Amino acid sequence: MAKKCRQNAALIALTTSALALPGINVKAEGAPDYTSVKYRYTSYAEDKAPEKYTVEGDLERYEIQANQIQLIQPIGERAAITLDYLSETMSGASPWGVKQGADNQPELIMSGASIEENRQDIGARLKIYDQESSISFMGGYSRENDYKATYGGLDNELHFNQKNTTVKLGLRFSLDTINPTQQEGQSRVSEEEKNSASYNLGVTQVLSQTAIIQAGLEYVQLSGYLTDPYKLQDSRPDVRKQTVVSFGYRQFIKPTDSALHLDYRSYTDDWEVSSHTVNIAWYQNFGDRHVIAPSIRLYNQQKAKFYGVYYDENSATEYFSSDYRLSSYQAMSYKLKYIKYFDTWSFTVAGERYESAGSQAGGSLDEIENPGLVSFTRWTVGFDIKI
Amino acid sequence: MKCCLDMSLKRLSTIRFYGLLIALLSFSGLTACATVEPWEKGILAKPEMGWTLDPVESALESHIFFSKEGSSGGNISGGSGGGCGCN
Amino acid sequence: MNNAFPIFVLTLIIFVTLPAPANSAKIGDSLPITLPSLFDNKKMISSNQFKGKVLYVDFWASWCLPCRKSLPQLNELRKRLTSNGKGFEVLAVNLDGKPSEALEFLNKYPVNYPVVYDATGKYPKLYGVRGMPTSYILDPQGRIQYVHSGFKNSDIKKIEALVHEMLP
Repeated sequence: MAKKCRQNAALIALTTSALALPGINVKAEGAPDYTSVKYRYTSYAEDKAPEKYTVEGDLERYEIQANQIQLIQPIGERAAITLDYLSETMSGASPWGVKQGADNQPELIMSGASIEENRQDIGARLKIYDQESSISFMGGYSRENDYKATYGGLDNELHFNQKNTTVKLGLRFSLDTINPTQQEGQSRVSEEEKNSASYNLGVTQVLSQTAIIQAGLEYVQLSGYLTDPYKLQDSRPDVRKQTVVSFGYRQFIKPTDSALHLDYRSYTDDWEVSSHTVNIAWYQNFGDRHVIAPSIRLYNQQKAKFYGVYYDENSATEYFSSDYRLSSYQAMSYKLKYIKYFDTWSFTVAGERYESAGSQAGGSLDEIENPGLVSFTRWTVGFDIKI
Repeated sequence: MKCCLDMSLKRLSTIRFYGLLIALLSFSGLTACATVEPWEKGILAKPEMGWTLDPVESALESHIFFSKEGSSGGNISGGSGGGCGCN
Repeated sequence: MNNAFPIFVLTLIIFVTLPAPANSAKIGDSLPITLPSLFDNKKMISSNQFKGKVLYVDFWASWCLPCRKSLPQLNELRKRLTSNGKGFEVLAVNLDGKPSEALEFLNKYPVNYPVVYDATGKYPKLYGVRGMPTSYILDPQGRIQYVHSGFKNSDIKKIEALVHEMLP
């Protein structure tokens, strides 16, 4: 089998050089040839903090309203620029920490109700298409009252085997500055920096006329101030090395006119956080104008080595955090998306419900469910216009 | 609900990367000589066969997960973006 | 976890060394096409009918975006060239999964030249089509002289110039 493939490859090389059939044009398949504008409005609301465990602060947790606009503009016939703008308004309380209550019961300390905060993010990407490859350059800037990030990156896509195989290499960096808002009675850092660099490699393979698979490997290194300045007794290492392996699979099902999406991600880092994520989605066409897509996402995380549900002065270590994000927990989310296509525009609405819970009730202290674990509901509506 | 979620996720976490990688290898081995011709890609060209049907919504969704969970990355087709995600 | 990397690289190598197809048309080849009309599957159309004319053989499908751009442009080119009494014709070979998909597109963007339907992919295989769309310019003797892959709006001028040179 392998030998036969090799012979074929040799033959094509020979005939290509021998025939010299004059070509007129270098094809740059994939470059968009029209301007498009996309708009999305998202409303995100977290469930209230659990009244039973909350001993201080406000129960009303985060709410976010976000507006996103994307413009894709072709430049010539083989390049396109994509501009992204995001503005989000955030308000509500967030967990400050967890302390030990009677009978080892965790007691949640929430912040007070916050004033409205705003984050704005503007990004641009230039993609240049060639016959068997493409290259993208991207950069952007994100600003909120206590945090600024300047980011950029590079992607290179190479097509092989009549575009049945695509290899993608990507680089990303982000240079961030954090200026925590000061709170009376708490001493916080005034200005700290945090940087990240990420390298990724992805391979996409067409399996058949109806199936395609993708595998990805990503390495990220974060360095600088990685502690959460808003948490009590939070102290984290100043380096974090993350490795992500991911797989994606798409299968079209002709008899029902639908597409199955399977995605899996495995995450590990040197803080000993690890997680598995599975996403399953079903895109059901109704004619060529309507799509309904239910999906489910499962998430399972193992805690960081320095995580504890609450701080214990007697066994204090160099690093500590009681951030629910670093605890062992599971989450499940359900999503339903609808798309309606018109001739030159489309409309979409999506709703998502996310619920998380501690991995195991009882057992050791590490396994006490963090009362700060979040559950939320998200709604997104929007439209795309072709110009 | 919770018990079933526990079980399914536990089973999931016992799956080794190797299993998946070997599965991928055998997939690629099987298809090594069965090329899909350029004119046979009508179905693969459908938007619902892409990696992300709605990159704008996905970008925000990824940002929410990044902000609220202990892990990130793996979204090779999606965009990046800054932000603290502290609260 | 670290062991995953060599396996990943191995997978990559296998992907990259996958073979390309062997067939390819050579300059001067004569590869006549005989297929049923897209509009009437009982009516056979052959490229030999257009001997004596420069023939632009266009392999296309309605799902292919550059193909969709090329059809109206080719229709205009044909109008320009044939109204001068020139010996030029376009033969479009449709490769959609279902003929109805192509008919839907042609209802919106009708063309005046013949369109045939190749249900089995016999002819793109014979010609060695490596991307969509791919076109071949045949001289009045029916021999392949040029291949054109992809389609951008600016290509139509280059095609027109070439056809002019080849006209009898």
